[in-house]
Amino acid sequence: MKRIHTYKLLLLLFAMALTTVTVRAQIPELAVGINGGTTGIGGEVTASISSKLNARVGFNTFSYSLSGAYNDNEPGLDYNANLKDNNFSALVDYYPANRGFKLTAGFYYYNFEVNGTAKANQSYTLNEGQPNEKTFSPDRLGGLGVNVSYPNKLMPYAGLGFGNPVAAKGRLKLNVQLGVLYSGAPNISMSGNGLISGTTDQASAFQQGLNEFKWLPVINLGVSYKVR
Amino acid sequence: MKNVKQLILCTFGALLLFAACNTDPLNNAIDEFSPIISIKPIQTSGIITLQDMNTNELINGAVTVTFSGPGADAMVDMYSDPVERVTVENGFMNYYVSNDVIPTTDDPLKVTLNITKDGYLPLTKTISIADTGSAGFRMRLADKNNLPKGITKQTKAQTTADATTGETAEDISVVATNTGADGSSQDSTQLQIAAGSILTDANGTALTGQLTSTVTHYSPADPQAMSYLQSLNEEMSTPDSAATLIGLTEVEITDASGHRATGLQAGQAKAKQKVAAGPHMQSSLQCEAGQTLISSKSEYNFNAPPNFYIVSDGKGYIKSSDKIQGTTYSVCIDGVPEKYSLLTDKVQVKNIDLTINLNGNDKYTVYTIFTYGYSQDYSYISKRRHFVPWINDPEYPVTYDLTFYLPTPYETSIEVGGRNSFTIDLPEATPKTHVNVALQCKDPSKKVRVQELPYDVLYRKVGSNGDWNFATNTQAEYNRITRALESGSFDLAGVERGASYDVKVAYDNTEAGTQILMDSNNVNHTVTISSSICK
Repeated sequence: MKRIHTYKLLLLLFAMALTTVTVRAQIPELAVGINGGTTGIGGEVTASISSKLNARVGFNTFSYSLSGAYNDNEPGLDYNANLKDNNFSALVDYYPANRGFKLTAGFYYYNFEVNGTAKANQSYTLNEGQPNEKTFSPDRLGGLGVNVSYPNKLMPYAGLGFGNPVAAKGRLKLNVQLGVLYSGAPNISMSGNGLISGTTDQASAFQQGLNEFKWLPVINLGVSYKVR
Repeated sequence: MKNVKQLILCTFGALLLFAACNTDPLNNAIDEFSPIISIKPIQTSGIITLQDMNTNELINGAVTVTFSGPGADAMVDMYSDPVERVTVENGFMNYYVSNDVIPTTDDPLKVTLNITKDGYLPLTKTISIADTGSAGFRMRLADKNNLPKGITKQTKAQTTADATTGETAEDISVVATNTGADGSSQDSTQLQIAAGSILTDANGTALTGQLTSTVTHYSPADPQAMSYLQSLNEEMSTPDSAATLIGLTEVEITDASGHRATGLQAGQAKAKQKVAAGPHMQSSLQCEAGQTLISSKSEYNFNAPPNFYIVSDGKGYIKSSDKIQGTTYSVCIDGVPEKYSLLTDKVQVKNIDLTINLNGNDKYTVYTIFTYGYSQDYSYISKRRHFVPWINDPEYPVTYDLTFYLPTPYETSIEVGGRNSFTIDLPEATPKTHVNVALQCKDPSKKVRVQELPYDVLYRKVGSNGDWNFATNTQAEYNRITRALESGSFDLAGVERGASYDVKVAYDNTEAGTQILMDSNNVNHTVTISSSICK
């Protein structure tokens, strides 16, 4: 139901925008900018549609790698994770007053993926000191693989912000954007080999936890330059 | 402006929604993350009790079980790794069979267990696993310092062997007595080793210094003693094979350093053995130095046995495929202390047709067939042909005592002679008691972090000194939500309502012991695990 409401909200916003549009005969004003925030680092192009309405498209990207050792439990694991985040946005900014405050709606094509691997980093001994003591080599213990991604890459966005890149005064502008993407819950999948392959059963617990995260916050800061 | 306000509120509302996300499940998943050891499910496993023959108690301390025979390669541990030898401490051994082998009644897995324990006589037994699932076997070991009445042991100081050459200074003479079918005592084994002989151990090292002979005699009239011997028919694939009983005596010669003689490097040894189970049950052989180790000359007309075994030193066997009258044969010593119960020429290994009506008792019911000079364990599930020795002469009918473990022993007997087809009606089985167990770790913050735990259950009434019995239908339940093995269940037969039972949940040669009051046919109980499978 929440998702349906969100779409309704966006449609309403677009309808409001259309009703206020007075199509300009002249070529729209344009601005280019760079920004950074929770969606990564990227750039965007803003075009004016009317005095109160801008259209904006952008691309942001981010990647991050992480490796380390998890030794809280035996057997210890060496892990390695790669986060890749590439997203395209198509947004409409609505300026209800003739100031910088804006309401924004639109869509993101959001390609977010985390891939990780973990491998036993030490031998593991069961029943140490007992007659049934059993030691497994790291190779025998095996490893794990994990993938986290969003099943629906097209995500509606709603937010607010400050700054109008194509406003009349000055060419260089500071822009702030706050909002949320309705992402739906990310999916987690785990694979395994060797004796620790059964650890993949814990994917269901992680999935249960991730099911709570259906909204993706967006906070971006950027500067823009009005080119026309 | 009203719409704008709503929009602003909605935006902040969405942000708040995110902020208000319930992070507990994810935090819990992260906090509780733990690598789990997955054990490949094993289709065929079981338990072997290692118990004192006199007291029935499970033997404490290290007992080593070495696997041999055709099925030895199929033996694995709980983690499906091959094992050749297992040392256990708690008086039982969990065994596991590779999933590559599917034992069936028609093609059972035969594994010979060579069991050694300090202070106990070594025991060699072959078990036959004829089904997947779980089965139990009992191994009864004789305490050297508290031998069962049917097993006697005599130690005698012999001559000395030269410290350098190993040559014996004087003749070695060993004379052992046997118990006849009529209860009379008579000479059974005579071993003469001439002065100047050199005895060597399994490594070829000459024995030196003071030599000591030890004669262990297994009375053919005693079921316990006979159960110590590997019955010949275990090795036979067809009925009607003749064999010869030549002794139930084990002779061991050791030097001051504990080296055990396994052969002659030089000199001459003569052994004569005689067992008087009947007029046909006697034989003798002569051993001499040379060839492989000892050679043998029979004085008796054996009936072309496919294999001819001796027990003169408890570890040798003669291989022969021809008539051996008047012929000299090599004795091959394999160094493994195996003992065989052998039969005379006129005692033939015949198949008897035994129909057993279980009458509700478990298909894994085991039973023993005993007669003078012979004892063999069977299990119903194996449905093996009962190759029992009997004399092909109406003058010598053979009575067999049968003991079924239901688990309370049920005894009956049959007389094989004029006929060889019998039907045994077992007493009606009592209702089984179903026991549900909740598994918990000794440390309550931990859980049993394995997905599979092939286990068996031993049980015995509190205060009883009877056998430990085997539970059936053992089940384990792994909870994929909590990622823990949390419960299990099993069935107990012959349980007395209202009585308490000692119960041992046995897995990976480890036990979790508890007492359970059997107050109904469906009992719930909690078992505490202290193994490091708790994490």
